[in-house]
Amino acid sequence: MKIVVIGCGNLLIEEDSIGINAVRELRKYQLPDFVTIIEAGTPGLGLLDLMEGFDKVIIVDAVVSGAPIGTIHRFTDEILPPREVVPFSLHGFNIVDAIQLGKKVQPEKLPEIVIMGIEVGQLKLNKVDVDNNIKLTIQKAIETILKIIN
Amino acid sequence: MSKIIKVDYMARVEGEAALEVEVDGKEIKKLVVDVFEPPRFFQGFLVGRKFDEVPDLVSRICGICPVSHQLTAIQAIENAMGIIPSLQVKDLRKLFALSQLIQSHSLHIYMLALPDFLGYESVLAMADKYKPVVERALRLKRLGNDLTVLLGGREVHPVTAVVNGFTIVPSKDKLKEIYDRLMLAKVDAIETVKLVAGLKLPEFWNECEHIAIYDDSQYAVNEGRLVSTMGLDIKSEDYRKHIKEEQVPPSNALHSYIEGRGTFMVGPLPRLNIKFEKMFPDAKAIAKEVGFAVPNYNPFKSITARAIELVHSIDESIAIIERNNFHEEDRSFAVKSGEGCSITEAPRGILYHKYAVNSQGIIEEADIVTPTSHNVANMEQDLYQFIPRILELPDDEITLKCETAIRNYDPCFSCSAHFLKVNIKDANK
Repeated sequence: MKIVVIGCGNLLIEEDSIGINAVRELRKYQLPDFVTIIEAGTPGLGLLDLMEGFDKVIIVDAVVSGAPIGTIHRFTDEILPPREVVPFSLHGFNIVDAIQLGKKVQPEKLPEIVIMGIEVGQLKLNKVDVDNNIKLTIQKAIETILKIIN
Repeated sequence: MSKIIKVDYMARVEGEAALEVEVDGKEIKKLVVDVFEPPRFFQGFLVGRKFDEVPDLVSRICGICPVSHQLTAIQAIENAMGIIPSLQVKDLRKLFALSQLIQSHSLHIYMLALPDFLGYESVLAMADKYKPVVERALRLKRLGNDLTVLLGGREVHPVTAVVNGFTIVPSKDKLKEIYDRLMLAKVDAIETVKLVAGLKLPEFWNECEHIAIYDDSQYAVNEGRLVSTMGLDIKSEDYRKHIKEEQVPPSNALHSYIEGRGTFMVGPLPRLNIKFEKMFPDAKAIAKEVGFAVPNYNPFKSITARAIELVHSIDESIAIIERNNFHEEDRSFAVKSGEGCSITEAPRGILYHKYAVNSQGIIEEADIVTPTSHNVANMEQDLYQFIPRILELPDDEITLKCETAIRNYDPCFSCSAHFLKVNIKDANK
């Protein structure tokens, strides 16, 4: 079983940085050899390439859905979030678009998909510090990821 | 009858922009391509940084063209310090630039532009009926990505390109693997040209000035003189004497123009108009086979030019790999003060970087002009001429055609903002 954990987001935008900060935190743990970690930024359709060759992918990204801040939403390739709640895209393609295109065109290449969407409230541009609430949520997300891996 | 055309948020472009047009009868009263993407002040914060931080920083300007920004910055700094890179470095850089052109062109042709011409909202909606076409798109894009990774260490914001060389040269095994894939991809590229040549594109001719870099010995991508279809022929050092910019509110993108003349177009169509003869034979042959001849001033033919460049890029990548036996080289150099610039062909057109560096290697001045900044004012000029011809159409078709006219340029407003929404409203309703 090969697992890849993909953190998405932009470090220069506090709330959106949560996916990247989560996988950076995850690197501090002793993880089995079959686990790969990727900091993907805003991958757009490139997400399909990043997932290829793995049996399972865990994608960590910020979502803005109106739920209480810190809520961890869990989605799969069968139950994807509405594309509008994933705030950032590359050339108009976000992770939901990429997975939907992959399901239509190359379903055989898609691994089992888990999306951990972390509710971040709203996005404030150009603020780089990660506050304590976000740090606590990251810790909660990591515990969930470790459970999935193990 | 008066009419207001409005697109509040342009889809299938990179970054944020809008279009607003007011029409009275057949006369356009107002036309604004408004880039509301916030500016990011790269030129400002590069000042005071050390020269070797610049390639990493400028690659962040764009998630689509990080390679172009890196290479252009590196070459400008080398120019400032009097460093002349080896022929191997030049070949590696060209292969690197072509890798980005392959991935960017396949993304634009298939994912961003094709839905316009096939009548779909997006590539997702298109995928059911055109599955083999979308599969081909993903294969080509993946090839470009993988070539970028091979040379740059990673796909987005690569890390290996530095002043006077590369920190790592690709291994023979990896090159052989990518070489075999390039050979196979040639069929996909040829099929791409045939596909786009079969599209029904609007008949529209706008004989504006086209600009590209030109070199006698090759299809210029990373170096050459700045040449236009109206007689401009200058060294890159003289860019600022001829190309000016102005702030046109409300847009956050500066508008470029040629001193004493006006707006101009950069990108694949101008490149073919200026240096078609320098393309590899099979690119020229497929152009001829599908009836594409230069000069061509129909901006909607940009998609065809892009596809022909795809064929050329694959062939030239193959040739570069065949003629080289890449090996580690001495990258040492002396840090010197000076001013230097570089102009390259990013996928969307010419990209200009200029730096002033002091004797400690600290950046004292930075000047960056992106392809979309060069093109924004010309997009407006295209629309001024195109819209009066389509005013009889229903409003939703006018809006779509305006968006398509802008997407001809494959605009990257994130980079230009220093900018797309479209708005069409009948003032009488």
